[in-house]
Amino acid sequence: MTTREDILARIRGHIDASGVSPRPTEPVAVRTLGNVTQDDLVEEFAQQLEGVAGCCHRVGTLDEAVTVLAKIIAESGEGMLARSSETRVIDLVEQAAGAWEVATEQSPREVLLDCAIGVTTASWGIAEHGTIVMPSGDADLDRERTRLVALLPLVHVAILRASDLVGTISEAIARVSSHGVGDRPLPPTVTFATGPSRTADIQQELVLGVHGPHAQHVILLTAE
Amino acid sequence: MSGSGSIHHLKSREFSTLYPSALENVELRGALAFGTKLVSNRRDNTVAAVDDWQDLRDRASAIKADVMSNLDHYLETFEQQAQAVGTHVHWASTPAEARSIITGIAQQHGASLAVKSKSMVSEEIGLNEALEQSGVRPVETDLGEWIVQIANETPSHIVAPALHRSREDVRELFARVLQRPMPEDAEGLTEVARLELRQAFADADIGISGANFLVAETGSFLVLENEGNIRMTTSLPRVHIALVGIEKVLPRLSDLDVFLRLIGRSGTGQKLTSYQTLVTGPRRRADDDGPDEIHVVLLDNSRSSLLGNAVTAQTLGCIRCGACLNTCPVYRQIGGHAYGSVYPGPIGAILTPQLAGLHEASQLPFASSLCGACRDVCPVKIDIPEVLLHLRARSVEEGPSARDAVTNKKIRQQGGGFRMWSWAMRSPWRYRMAGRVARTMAWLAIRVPLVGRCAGPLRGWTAGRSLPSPPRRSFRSEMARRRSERRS
Ligand code: SF4
Repeated sequence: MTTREDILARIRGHIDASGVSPRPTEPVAVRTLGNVTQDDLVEEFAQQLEGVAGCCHRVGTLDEAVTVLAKIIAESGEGMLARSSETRVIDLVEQAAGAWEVATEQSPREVLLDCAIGVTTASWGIAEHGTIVMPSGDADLDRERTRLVALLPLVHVAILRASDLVGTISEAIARVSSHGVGDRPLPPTVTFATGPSRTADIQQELVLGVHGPHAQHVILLTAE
Repeated sequence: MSGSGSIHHLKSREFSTLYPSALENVELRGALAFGTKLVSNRRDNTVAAVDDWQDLRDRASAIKADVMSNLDHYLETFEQQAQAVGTHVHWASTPAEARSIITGIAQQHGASLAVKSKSMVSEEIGLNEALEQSGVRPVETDLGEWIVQIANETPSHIVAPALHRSREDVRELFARVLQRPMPEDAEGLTEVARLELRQAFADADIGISGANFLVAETGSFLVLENEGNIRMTTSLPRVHIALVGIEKVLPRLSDLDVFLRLIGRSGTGQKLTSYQTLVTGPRRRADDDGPDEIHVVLLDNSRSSLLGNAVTAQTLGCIRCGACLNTCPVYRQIGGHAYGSVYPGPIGAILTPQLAGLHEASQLPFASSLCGACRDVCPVKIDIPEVLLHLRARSVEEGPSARDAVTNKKIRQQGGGFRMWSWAMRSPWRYRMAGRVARTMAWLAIRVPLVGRCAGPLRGWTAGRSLPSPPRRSFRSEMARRRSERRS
C-alpha cells in the first residue's frame, strides 16, 4: 500500500469503528448586511479602514483622484513608484508622478523591492472590515498584476470603485467563488488586505509596518 | 488507543521538573502575565460585540464534526481539485516521511535557502534541523518566530512565539546576534528585523508555510497573518511548500466566512487579521507573479487515531487560535516551555499525549485545574476538560499491568478519585476540598504498600509504570504557596 492509501485506510478504519453515521453539513446562505445603500457601504468601508490605521480617500472625479495621489507621492519625499498595467492606474500615475521615476509590474523584482509606492486597483472592497480584495493571475478577473506591486513597496495605493463594494466577507467569497465554477478554477491567488501590515510580537506592542506595506491608502471612486 | 506518532524535541516527561523552574523565573512570569491578560481582554471585548457569537461557534463545531466523520472523502476531494490546478499533493504518515518529502523537493531544485512562515506542524516534525542537514538554510520570517530562531529556542506560544520575552530581552538578543547597538523601542527593533529579512525573501529558492485551512471544493489553501511575511513567502520564491495536518480541510469555500469571523477575534482580539491569502495552484501564465510549483504535504502523525471517538476527535477541530492558552490560569503562570512540547497550554495538554502517546506526556492531562475557561473561549467548542478527564482515566488504565492485583486495587481507588473530580468540577470549593481528599487517598494508595519495600509483583510495576505519582501538594496549592512566599 502507498502512504496515501495507508492514511485513508486508517481514517476509514477509525471512522467506521465508531458506528457514528456521518453528518454532512449543508452550505448556508450568503451573509449580508441587510438593506443597505451604496452610500452606507462607502461610509462603513471608510470607517472600518480608518479603524485599522488605513486611509480612505473618497473622490468624485478622476481629477480629484489625481490630486490625492499626487499628495501621497509628495508626502513620501523622493523615490521610485511601481504601478500595475491597468489603464486607469497608468493614467493616474502619469498625471500624478511628477519627478518620480516609474517602474511597472514587469520591472525586475530587485527594482520593485526598492520602490517606495505601489499603485494598483482592487477588484472588490468589503465594507464590514475595510478590506480590499485582489485576485491575481486570472485573465477575466484581474486586469493587471497586483501580487508584487501591492506588496513590496512601503506604501500601497489601491484604486477601488464604490460599485465594487460588498457588505461582508461572505459576499466577497461568493464573488470569488462565482469565478471558480465548473471547470474553471479560482485564480491562483486571492489576497484579502485590511490596513497596513502590523505586528505585536515584541512585548505585545503594536507596530505598524513589518514585511507588508507600512501604509495602506484606498482611493474610492464614489461616482463609479 | 494512544497515539503512536512523535513530536520533535518532546520533553513533556520532564514536566514535573520544568514547571517548578518556570514558576521561579520571575521575569518570565511578568512577561507572561502581561501578555496573556492583554490579549485575553482584547479578545473578550471584540467577542462581546458579536451578537451571533454562540451561533457561529455552533456552526464551526458542526462543520468540524462533519469533517471528522467524513475526513477521507474531503481529503480525496481536496487532492483531486488541487491536482486539477497543478498543485502537487503528498501524503506523509510520519514526521520522517514529511521531512524527506520536503528535503527531497529542496534537493531536486538545488535549493540552498528557504524562507519560512510560522508553522506549528513544521515545529512538530523538526523540519528546520532536517533542512539544515540537507544543506538548506531555513530562515523564519514571522517576527516572533525569527526572534525565537536566532535565540536558539522553541516558541512558547502557538500564536505569539516570543510571548515569554520582554522588549529589553529582544534588544539584547538582537545586539548580541547582529553585533551592533540596537534601538530601544519596538518599532525600531521591528525595522531591524524587516531589513535583515528582506534580503532572505529576495534570495530564497523555496518558500515554506503551514496553512490555516484547506478547501476541498476548490483545492485551495488559506493562510492568515498580520505581518505580510506569508504574502512574501508565498509570492517570491519559485517553489512553495505548504505543510499541513490532515485535519485542516474544510468542505466549502463559503465555510471560510464562519472561521474567519471566529479566528481573528479569538486569537488576537482583531476582527480580522491584516491579510488572508487564498492560494489555488501555481501561476498559470508566464507573465504572472507567484511560484511555478506548489506542493501541499498532508501529515497524519497519529491524527487519524483520534477519529471515531466523539471525545478525542474534538481535538482535531482546533484552529490553533491560542485563546485557550491566553485564558488558562496554569499557562499564565508557567508559560509554554514548561509543557515540554511544541503544543503547550490546554490544547497542548490534550494534543501532545494523543499524538505522541500517553507514556510520553502522562503528566500533562493532570496539569490543569479543570476550571473550564478554555472550553468557554474555544471558538470551535472543544470541551477540553472532557478530553483531559478522558486522558486521565486512560492514563490509569494504560499505565499499570493488568495482572497485578495490588495495582488494580489502586486503579479502583484512582477511578473513584476521577468520579470525584467530575463532581468537584462544578464549583471551586467542592473542587478544592475534593482535590485534597483525592490526593491524600492516591498518595496512601501508592505509599502504603511501599512500606514493605516493593514486594514481588509490585516492584515490576513501580519500575515501569507510566502513571505519575500524585503530587503531595496540588498544582493549585503549590502555586499559591509560591505566591505567598514571594510576598513575604
Ligand atoms: S483548542 Fe480551541 S481555543 Fe485552544 S487553540 Fe484550539 S481552537 Fe483555539
